[in-house]
Amino acid sequence: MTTKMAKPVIEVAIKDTNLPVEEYRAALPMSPESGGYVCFEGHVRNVNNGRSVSHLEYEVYDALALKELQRICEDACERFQLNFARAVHRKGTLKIGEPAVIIQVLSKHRKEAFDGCRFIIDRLKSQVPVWKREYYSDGSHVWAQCHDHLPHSHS
Amino acid sequence: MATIKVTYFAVLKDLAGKSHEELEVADGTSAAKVYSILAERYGFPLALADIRVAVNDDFASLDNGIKAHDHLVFIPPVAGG
Repeated sequence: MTTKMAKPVIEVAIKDTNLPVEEYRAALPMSPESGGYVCFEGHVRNVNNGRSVSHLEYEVYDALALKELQRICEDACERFQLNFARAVHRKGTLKIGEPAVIIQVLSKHRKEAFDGCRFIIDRLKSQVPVWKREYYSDGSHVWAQCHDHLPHSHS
Repeated sequence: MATIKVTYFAVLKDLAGKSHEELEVADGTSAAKVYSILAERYGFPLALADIRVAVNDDFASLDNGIKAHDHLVFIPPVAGG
């Protein structure tokens, strides 16, 4: 017997305050059809490319970032038959260890949940207009990625 | 001539020294041409191949002609997550 799947629920947001990851976990729209739940949390790491990081600043083009996150989640729901997808990214200044991004998905089985979650975070990293400035322990700072494209980058 | 608004983020904002401004350009000027003008003015180091453009809050082609009141955002390489 086949039952028509309900329309997937999608939630996207950009937040300038600490991500309430426990609340997100508690507020999942669980349903009897969703056997698989996968979550990815990205936290601020203390070292990047061998340099000691003191803190980060994320800048976000909110209007386009929200549209892109919505499109990516819709795409993931269709490709992997997800029942639910949530993608939230921080902006502003973050300390080491703070969550920068959270992706949560619900699906019927684990494979679709893992694959859908992976798809969303990978697309987010390559397409969503978010920029990260890394501040190092020696007081210097660079915009990640942008720096790699400069013609005379030596670091 | 057309008046357009340009908003800057990240490395482009630092180099322009401002988050946004209004510019006068000839009607139909391509977004790529607008970027070239600004790159020369502010010393933007990123090549056209390394940036994308959003027009009125949606990704657009750099070859598209600009019209009055368009809002342009040049998007340097992103680094979310």
